[in-house]
Order: sequence, then C-alpha cells, then structure tokens
Amino acid sequence: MRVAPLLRVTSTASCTETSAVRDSGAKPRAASASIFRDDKQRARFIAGVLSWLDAQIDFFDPPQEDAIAQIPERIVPGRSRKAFGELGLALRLAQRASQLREREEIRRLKRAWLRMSRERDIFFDARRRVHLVPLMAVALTVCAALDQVPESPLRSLQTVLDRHFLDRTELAAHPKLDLKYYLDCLGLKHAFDNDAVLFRRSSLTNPAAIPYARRIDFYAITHLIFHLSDFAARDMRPICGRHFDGIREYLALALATSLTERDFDLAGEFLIARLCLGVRDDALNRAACDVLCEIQQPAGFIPDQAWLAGLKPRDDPRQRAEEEFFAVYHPTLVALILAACDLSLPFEMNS
Amino acid sequence: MSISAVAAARAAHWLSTAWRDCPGDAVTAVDALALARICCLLDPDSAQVLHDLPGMLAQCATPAWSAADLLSGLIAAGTALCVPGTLALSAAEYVQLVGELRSEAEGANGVLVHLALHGGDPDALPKGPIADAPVDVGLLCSGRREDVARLLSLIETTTAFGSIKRSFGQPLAAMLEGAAMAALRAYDLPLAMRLLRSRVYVDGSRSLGLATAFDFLRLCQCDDGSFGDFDTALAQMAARGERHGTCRIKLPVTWQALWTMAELEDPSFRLGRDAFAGVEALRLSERLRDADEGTDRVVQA
Repeated sequence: MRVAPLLRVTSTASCTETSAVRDSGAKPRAASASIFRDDKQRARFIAGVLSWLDAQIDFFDPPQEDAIAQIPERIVPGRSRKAFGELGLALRLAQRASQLREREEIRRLKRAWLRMSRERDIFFDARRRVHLVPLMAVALTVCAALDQVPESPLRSLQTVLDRHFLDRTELAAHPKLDLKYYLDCLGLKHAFDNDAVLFRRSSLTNPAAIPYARRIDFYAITHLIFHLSDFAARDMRPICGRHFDGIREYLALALATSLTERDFDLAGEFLIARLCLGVRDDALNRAACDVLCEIQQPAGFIPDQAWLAGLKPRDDPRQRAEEEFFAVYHPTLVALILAACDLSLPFEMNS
Repeated sequence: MSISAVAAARAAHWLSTAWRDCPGDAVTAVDALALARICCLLDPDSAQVLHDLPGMLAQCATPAWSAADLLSGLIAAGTALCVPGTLALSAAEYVQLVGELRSEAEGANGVLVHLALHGGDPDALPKGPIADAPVDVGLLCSGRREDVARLLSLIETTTAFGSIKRSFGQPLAAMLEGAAMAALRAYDLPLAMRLLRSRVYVDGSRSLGLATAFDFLRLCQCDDGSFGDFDTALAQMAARGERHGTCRIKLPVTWQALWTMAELEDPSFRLGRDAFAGVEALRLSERLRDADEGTDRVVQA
C-alpha cells in the first residue's frame, strides 16, 4: 500500500497564496495590479458570476454513479460530469484568493459541490471506469483543496496508472500535460514526460497561425499555459526560455481576435493565460475586461457564441433553462477563474 | 525587389491575360484600369499593361464609372485621362461629376477627393473637428459591421489614409490586428485588408499580427497572379449564367491586396497619396479643379 503520496496531496494540492509565492520564488505582486479598472468593477463582476452559479447549482449535479448499469469501460464523461468537474476546478482556484474564499456564495458552492460528490458517489468503480479517471483526478485535487482527499479513490487511480496504459497512449502534448498536472498535484506516479519535455513538444513553441487555427488549437494553447504555470502561481519563464516573448505576443493577438469574434469563452481563457505569463497592467487586458463586464448578462452569466446566436426554442421551461445553462456555464466559470487569478497572482513579471 | 513589387508584376501579367477573357465588361473596366496603375506604381517594369489596357478598353463599352469604388474610380480616371479618345472623354465626365459633388463628399471620400485634387498633398486637407474625434475600440467588438466601418472611416479620414501621422492610444492597434485576424478567419478579404491598412495608419510598428497577415495575403496570390481563392463562388456564378465572374470578383480583391501588401511592407508608401502624385494625377486634379471652379461660378451666378 502506498502511503507517501497521500501525505504529498495535502501539501501540494491545497495551494494557497502563500505557498504559491514560496514555490515560485518570485517577488510578491503589487496590490494595485489588476485587470479591472477598479474594485467596484471587479466586485460587480464577481457578484454577478457567483449569484448565477449559486442559482444554477442543481444543473451542476452529476449522474448517480452507483446506479448506472452500463459496462464500466464504456462510460464516457459527458457534459454533466464535465460541468461538475469544472465547477470544482474553479472553486479550487477560488480557494487561493482570500477575497473569494471568504465569500458566503463560495462557501455555499463548496458545500454543495462536496455534498454532491459524496451523494453521487463520483469515485464509484474507479478502477474500471477508465474514461472517467481524468475527471476523477481533477475531482480529487478539488477535494484536496476544499476538504481532504479520500484515500480509496486515490489508490484506485494509482492502480489504473500502474497498468501502464493511461500515461502511454498516443496523445498530443496538451492532453498529456492536462492530466499530468492533476496527477502531480495528487502525488501519483506516472510515466508522462516532464514539463520541459512536454513544453518542447507542444504547440507553444510554434503555435498555429491565427487566421487558420481551430478553436481546439486555441484551447490547447491556453490549457498548456494554465497547467505549466499552475494557473498563474508559477513563473513560466524558465520553461519557456527564448519562446517566452513570442508566446506573450501570440496571446495578445489571439485575445484581440477572440474579442472581435465575440468568443467570450476563449477571450476569458486568453486573458487568464496572459495573467499566467505575468501580463497584467496592460491596455489590452483592460479593454478585454471592459468588454467582458459589458457582455455580462443581468443574471450574472457570461454568454458564449451559441447563446449570442440564439438558442433553439423549447416549449418545456426546464429544458430551456438546461439548454441555456450548458451554453453559458463554461464562460461563466472561466470568469470566476479569471477573478481568482486576478486576485491571487503571486509574482510580478512585467519587467 | 520588394515582395509587393514581385506580386504586382505577377498581377499585371494576370490582368493582361484575364482582361482578354472578358472584353467589353463595363463593370470591371474601372477596376482593371486601377489595378494596372497600381501595378505600375509598385513595379515600374509592369508599364506594358498600362500601355495596352486603355487601348483594349477603348474598344469596349463606356466604363461604369459611377458603379466603381471612389478610390479605384479616381485612380482609373487619372490613367484614362492620358489616353486620347472616348475613354478619356468618359473619364472627364466622371471627374466632372466628382468635382461637382466634392463639397458634399464627407469623411474618407472627402479626403480622397482632396488628395486627388491636390496631387496627394495631405497638407492641403482642411483640418476639421473630426481630426480630434475620440476613437472607441469597443466598436470593433459590437458584432455590427457598420460600427467597424464607422471606426475605420474615422481612422482613414483623420490620417488621410496614412498620409498624416496621428497618435492613437493603445489598445487600438492591437484590436485592429485582432479584428483583421477575425476577418481573415472568415475569409472576408476586403474587410481584413481595410483593417490592416488602418492598423498601419495608427501605428507603423512591426508585429506578429502584421507579419501573419502579410503572409496570409502573400499566400493568397494564385498561380496566375490574381488574388483570392473563390472557386466555389465562381462555380455558383457560372451555374447562374453570370458572365465575367473571375474579373468581377478578383479584380477588386487583387488591387486591394497589392495596395495592402505595399503599405504593410513599406511604411513610406501610401496609395492615397502616391497614386495622385504623378502626371496622370496632375491631369486629374486639373479636371477636378475645373469642375470645382465651374460649380463655384454656378453658385456665384
């Protein structure tokens, strides 16, 4: 039985502002540096996002795992589990910022997430539900940040990894790094290459030309940056080396492109990615933030392109609400992560 | 030889062959003349096309001057005025009309007429209140095409199509580049090129966005020298029985592509100024001035 990783989980995964500063070794950030014009703008933005998430919590409820009679190996994540996992990730990052951590809405959301995770038995049959393992890894890091890591699922995940399958399939650098990030947070053993090697093999060293790039190419870029920088907690310069300035320039162009395409999900991700690379006090960031604040709907959510184009009409009010939820929850969670990164950035990199 | 000059030489070659396939098309005649003139501006060795084209045009119906874009119309008229015969007469009538309407031309169109009238001299432009108008970058994110056009017109007007330096705060240049990328992704070439030109009018510095866009345009040039891949649209036009599809779609895109590439590549080149600085333009400005004085006389009477 492996005990050591469990000890590492609690120290690595429950990131706080203090530990992030210590890990990066960078100088503390100036308190005034923010992408928001002022505290009032940021407060209004956060209040809207949290109010909407609070009101939509039932839609985040994942399936009752122990009641599914399907062949375990064939169960795939689906949008409901994905939404639940992403809410957990956003709450995990919100934990890093005291101004978010101490808010009543965040506390309520955390309680609800942990309750649902227990009631739905989300780690059920983990050793056979291999397609759910990546989401389970995310969920375990959330548990580590919000509460404590359940030992049994952690051991199940290590068993799955020890089968020499999950970390040895043919994948691009970004899905490898996505999973590796969470496995590392949990202290699990795996056979993925280290960050430096994955970076060299990734599209960050030679990103797709923006006029031709697909959305998946853009998401690969943002996710690589999120995970290499531990969502703005780690200085990426040592890994990026000579590519650092080029990546910054690419992100600026990609952010401006997504803003004018009114793709607010990607715009939010690019804005976070810029924060991860230490670009904060910048006119483009402010303009992007203004646009996101303006597009935020009275209910508090951030719309995506499908919502802006008009959703399919539905007679059933519940179906209509669900349709809207799945159209807008992701950019709204991205907005919460953006606020968390803005409030908890641990080091200065503008110089 | 610059990349734009090489592209212009290839485009001139395309023009000389493509035009033979659609003789007599009045709609494309103006764009053909404008393209020939721009090719010569960028690559003086392409003068042959400018020499041959008016002769071919003279055998066709009168060019549809009033249907043309104002800039291509003015550039083409300057060229046509140098060729004795019916082409020059029709160009003179067009210029007469533009001159009479000059006082009503506002914004970017007004600037173009002024530049044509004064041999491309931006110092001759009247300084109006629009020169200090604030620029709202939010217009690029509204999702409304007319908002983008309004912003671009303001930039073209206040900088006289890049002939006058004016400082704009950030992040206008970055947002214009982003909007240009978005237009390229949608293969909306005319809008993308207009955004790119405005980008260099507000800030001439090099960037990843400009390099990417320049490459995009360079690679848009087809083997025959024309610009843009419009096979689907051309097949649809052919199926509908529309004639001269290639010239109608590709001529404007080609001269705009050369214009944009040249302004991106060489900060000292500005078509709105340089196209009206030659001998052809002198004749054009003389004609415009005549028309203007004629209008004044009518007003005084």
